Amino acid sequence: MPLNKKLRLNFIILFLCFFSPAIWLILDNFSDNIVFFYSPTDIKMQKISQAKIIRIGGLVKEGSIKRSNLDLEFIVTDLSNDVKVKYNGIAPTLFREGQGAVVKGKLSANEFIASEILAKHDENYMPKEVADSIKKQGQWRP
Amino acid sequence: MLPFIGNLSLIIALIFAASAIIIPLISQGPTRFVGNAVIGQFIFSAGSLGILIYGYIISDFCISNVYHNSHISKPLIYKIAGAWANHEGSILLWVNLLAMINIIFLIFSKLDIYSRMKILQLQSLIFAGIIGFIIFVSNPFNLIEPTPISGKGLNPLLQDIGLAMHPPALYLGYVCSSVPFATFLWSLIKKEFPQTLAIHMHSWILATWSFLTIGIGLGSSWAYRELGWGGFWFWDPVENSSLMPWLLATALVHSNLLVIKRGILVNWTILLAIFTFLASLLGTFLVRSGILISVHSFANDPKRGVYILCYFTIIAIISLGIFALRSGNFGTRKQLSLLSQEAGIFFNNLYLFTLFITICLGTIYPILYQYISGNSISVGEGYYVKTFIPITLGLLIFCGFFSTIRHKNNNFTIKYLFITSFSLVFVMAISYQYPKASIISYLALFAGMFLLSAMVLDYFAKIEIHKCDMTLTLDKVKGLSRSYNAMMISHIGLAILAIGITMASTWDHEIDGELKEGTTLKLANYTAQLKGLELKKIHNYVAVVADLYVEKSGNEIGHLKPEQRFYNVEKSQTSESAIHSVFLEDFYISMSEFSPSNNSILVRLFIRPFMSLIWIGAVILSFGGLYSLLFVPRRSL
Repeated sequence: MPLNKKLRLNFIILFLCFFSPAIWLILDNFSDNIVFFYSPTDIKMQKISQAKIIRIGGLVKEGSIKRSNLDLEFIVTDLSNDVKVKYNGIAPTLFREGQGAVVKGKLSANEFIASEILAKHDENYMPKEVADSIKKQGQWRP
Repeated sequence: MLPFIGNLSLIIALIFAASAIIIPLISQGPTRFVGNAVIGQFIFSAGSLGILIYGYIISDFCISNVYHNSHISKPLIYKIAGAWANHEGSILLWVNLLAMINIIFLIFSKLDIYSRMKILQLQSLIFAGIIGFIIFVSNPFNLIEPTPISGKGLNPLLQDIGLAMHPPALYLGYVCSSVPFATFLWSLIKKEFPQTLAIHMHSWILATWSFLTIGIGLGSSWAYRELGWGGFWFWDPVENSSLMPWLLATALVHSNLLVIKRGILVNWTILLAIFTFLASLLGTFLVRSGILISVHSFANDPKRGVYILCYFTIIAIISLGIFALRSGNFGTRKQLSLLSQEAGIFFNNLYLFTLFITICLGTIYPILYQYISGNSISVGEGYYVKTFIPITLGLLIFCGFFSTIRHKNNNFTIKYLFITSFSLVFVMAISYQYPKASIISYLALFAGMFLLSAMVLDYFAKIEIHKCDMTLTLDKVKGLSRSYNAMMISHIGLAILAIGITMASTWDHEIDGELKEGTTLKLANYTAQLKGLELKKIHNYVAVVADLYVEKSGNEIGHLKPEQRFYNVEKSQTSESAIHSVFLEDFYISMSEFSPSNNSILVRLFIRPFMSLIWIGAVILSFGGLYSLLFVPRRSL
């Protein structure tokens, strides 16, 4: 029995009514939510918009963590350049000096205001992006 | 000695797999040989996993894998589970589960012997690829010279009971999807698709779906307890990559029903089965190859990436190629009423496939982007919140509408008007108690309630509860078909889950603060007072245990004791949250940064209303799948 043509048309129309808003939703939101990653060297070399949320990563410089109550301040380095980071709140447990860290937030004048510290590490406690950016600087000493 | 036996065992398993593929190609006719070879694959792959676990138990540090991931002081349960807490061991577990389900298929399948052997031949091909990967590029039995005296320990985040349960359950779901994949491919090759094939495969599809649901649920609860951020889903690429096969498997469970009942959507169902298995492979290997950056990912080795990419591409090209060449042969064309459960399944598949595309784009795009441009990007949570959630709301309402639609129904309009208005009243009542939320949250509550009330109303109508006759109702309950019950259970679970997720993620609040002995921190009507700090030495870590006395609106709740653990071997620390969970809400405390100098700690307090609904919903949801798998009689393996 051939599929009723009118019915098939109905299905196609419904399909389009349904799919087009979904695709519109996806496309509309996709580009807005892409978060780029920069190393401290990238931040120094490139002009990066202060309006956009970005991620930066590197090692937390030894002796740079300053904490008063919930305000946290530290320096992220790729061993060539540094960025000062400010954060309010509790850092994840894996966040420590000398370890890799990735922070998400916005750049302001000459510091980085972090909204989130990501403590996602592999078994060697080194975020891949951080390892890559340090390798790029030729400072990699595993 | 151990590594040698382990390797030998792997190689014998590979030989069995290779012979199961090659010998039937050379010799003619049906052969029982494949069956024996499959048993051989199982015995020897299980042997090598057993040896690896034994190596962990006795802490044999001449095995590099054990050295890198274990330590003598580690508790036994994490020595055993630690065997699959790393890349090499986890793939070995995967392949073992595959060998195990091949045996189950061999013994219990009701398909004719010839088909069974052919399907197992395809399964052996999948098995051989992975076992080759283990032997050549991801060998868990690599030696380390000289033998170290002590191991490096296991990432403390993984030292949780979740490790013993979450990966095996999830992997079981992944490998179960290979059976419908291979079976449908075989039917394409044979150019015939008997109706019984779909019936045979339904159990496997249900098993895939149920184990994936359980696995994802366990993973989520692990993250909630252990990560200390009070969250249960982070839209992390790794979580997403387990959600992709789940969405496809959900679609497959439904579309296969149409194949069974009406003989339609055959090609689509075959394609879905192929996609589900490919997504399962992607889920396993995206996580395990280090391509994804997340709490789950392990160190990257380019050789592995290349092997996996080649393997995946070969499987994808073979399966999709066969599909493209042969799919024209099947399927009948029948009329489909627009207002029927069958049409509902059609929409269900559209929705789920769209959700799959949404997640797939957000997960795969950053990887491709990085390969092409070299820059690292990630897709923010906002993308998923703004796409996945609105689409899901539509899915819930369609689900409620179509799964309760009846052919012989004259009070159609009244029924759905009633459900709609009931759900609206519910949302208004909630908004009175929980004001100030975005419109999408209320819409989500509406959708969840719409589904729930539609299902419950339908059930009541079926058991004729309105007649107020106890014996009649009981008879009706007994008379309901089990497949109807399974559908009812799962859909109610889904509704509860949706309501729970909406409540817990909309009206959560949190506060961070510093506490010294005797000081208090307030959040809403909760107060937490730090009574004291205690140092404890347990197994392989030292813990600072905070004793917090918690009151709600002046009434005693009790003492909550979050911990911060310091693992000496791993030189790392974790926080163990303390959760006071009642039906209405979870009160959650996690602590960090114990500072010995002024005896203070930093704590984060969380309130998540109706958090328990998420776990209840997830349990009911997966129970529906298992119920259907175990108790619905018409099925065979």
